[in-house]
Amino acid sequence: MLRNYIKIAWKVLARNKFFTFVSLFGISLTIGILLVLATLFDQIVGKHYPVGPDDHLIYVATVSQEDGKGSGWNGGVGYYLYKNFIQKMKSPKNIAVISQPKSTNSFVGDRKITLSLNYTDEDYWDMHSYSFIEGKPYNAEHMRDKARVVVITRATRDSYFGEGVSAVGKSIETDNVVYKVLGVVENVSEASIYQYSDFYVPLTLATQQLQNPDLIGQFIVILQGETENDIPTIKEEYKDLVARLTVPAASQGWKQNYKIISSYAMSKIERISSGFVIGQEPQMGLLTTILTAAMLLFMLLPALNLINLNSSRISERSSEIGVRKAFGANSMTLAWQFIVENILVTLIGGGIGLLLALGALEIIESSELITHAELGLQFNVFLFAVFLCLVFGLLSGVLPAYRMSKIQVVNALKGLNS
Amino acid sequence: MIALSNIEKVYQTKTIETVALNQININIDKGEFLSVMGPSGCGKSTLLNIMGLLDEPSNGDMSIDGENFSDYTDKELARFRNQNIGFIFQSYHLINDLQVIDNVELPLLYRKMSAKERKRRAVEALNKVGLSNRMQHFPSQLSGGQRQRVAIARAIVGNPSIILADEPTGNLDSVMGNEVMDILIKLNEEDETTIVMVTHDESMAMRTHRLVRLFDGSQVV
Repeated sequence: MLRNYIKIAWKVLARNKFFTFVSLFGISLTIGILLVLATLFDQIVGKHYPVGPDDHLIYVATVSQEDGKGSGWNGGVGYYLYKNFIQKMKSPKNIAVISQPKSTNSFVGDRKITLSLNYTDEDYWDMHSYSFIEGKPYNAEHMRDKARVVVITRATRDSYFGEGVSAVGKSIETDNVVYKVLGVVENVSEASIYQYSDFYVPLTLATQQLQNPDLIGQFIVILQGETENDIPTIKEEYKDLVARLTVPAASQGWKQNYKIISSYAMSKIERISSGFVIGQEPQMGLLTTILTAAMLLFMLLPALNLINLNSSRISERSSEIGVRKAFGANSMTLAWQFIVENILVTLIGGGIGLLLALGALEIIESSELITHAELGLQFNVFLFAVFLCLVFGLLSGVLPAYRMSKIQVVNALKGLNS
Repeated sequence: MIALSNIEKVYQTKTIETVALNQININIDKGEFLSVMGPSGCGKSTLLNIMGLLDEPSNGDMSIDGENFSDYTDKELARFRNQNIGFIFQSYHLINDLQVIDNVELPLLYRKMSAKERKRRAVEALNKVGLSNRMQHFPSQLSGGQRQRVAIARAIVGNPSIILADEPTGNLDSVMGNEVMDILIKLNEEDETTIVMVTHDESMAMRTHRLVRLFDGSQVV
């Protein structure tokens, strides 16, 4: 039966080349764009280098203090909060900290290199899956000694020392401070919002930031679970911790007015769901609704086009409908046949869309629009594409299929559409 | 086998009422070959459609082997047609996008049957109409007579007890028409298939067991 449907679908496609072109153009363009967007979204929220598949991480990236009357202040996590409270949490397997990025300048001869510098502790390296091209990360000893060491990325090494030139043991200077290169890691994509850096240095060198007495500061705390199942417990413990927080006595006077403290431990996608509004609770339901609605809306126009084309094809296929009905096809069977045919068309369109998306991603990647991003299509994105095709096929096939199945057999044999 | 009792068919619009069939009473026995004649628009095809469960009468009763269909759902009617009735149409109604073998297999798609068995039966049906050498052809590559023979193969592939033929020779010249008629007569004689054939051709009608004439929707003989 399916073979028969496929044959018919293929013949119908081949018979109406212009209609087929219009249909496939709409489908493939829509699916291609959605795949590119899905890939970019996945780059931000998915587990990509340097987060390994077994690295179960959530992030405390923001803290806010308010007075309940609409005023307040906010920012990243203060070292005080990290050191005195978060680091004492029981449920995480590991806790690490990384500073918000700081832009620094290095010079090679007359050439200026702008680098993104981040301070991290030694645990940061344990909870990620960085790929070291050479050397190693700094450890507790480096931290204790406030050693001026650095882990740089491949791109930093290549632009500072020359492409492929070994850097470990050599000195690198930025903002008039000289560091010894301890390790070189593979580049990190700018889409890895909490891990992206060119220049990782020990946290203990950030002396000014470490003396900040506030809850709010310039750090991001990373909490690691043993498994994904630990994550809710960690979130809950952090929520309890925040509920017990009070404004530190050492904070400046005006900061004492803002006693309502909010902060959440969130995954990257939850951060997006909170709308990047600091102090806002994650709203995954709302995000899912908005994304689904936007996707369906985007697919609606080509789907309407396909519905229109399919409906106009009913008249040319009325004889076939009549014959199938006369020889024993009931309305449901016919509707199903039409939906299967339509899904086949959308799968072909999806295949073309997939190729278009691959091409577009290649262009985006080579243009360095997102620094160091490797925008290959992930398997889950591919599954998403198949899912899109099925939704598209159903969306555009059900109505014409219903109309088709309701045609009276006698009229169908006469070539009428009612 | 087929019993029509006081069958009426009225087509009604807002302004006009057209009586297509009026008080038709026909009993057709198993294995009978009946022809229906009459001028264009006299209701022949409507009558055939009602017998084939493709259309419903406005009034009257129709039964096949004692089975009344007034309570049948779309699905049940489709299943009954599939199991018991084969159709042959004047304009063949073959699916041009499918090869001959696929066209013949079509009724079997709606039965629980393996692809292998479907193919075996389709080849057997094509053998009966002498077209086994045209299996891979498309309908557009065949002559009118050959197309009608494919349509006959499609009608008989499911071994139906009834074949309803609506002017099967209407689009054919006399030689091809006689060839098609020979096949129908052979089917009727060898397989005891009940056949009801609508025709305009007196000479074809004379070759059947019985002739019913219609005029303006009423039975005149």
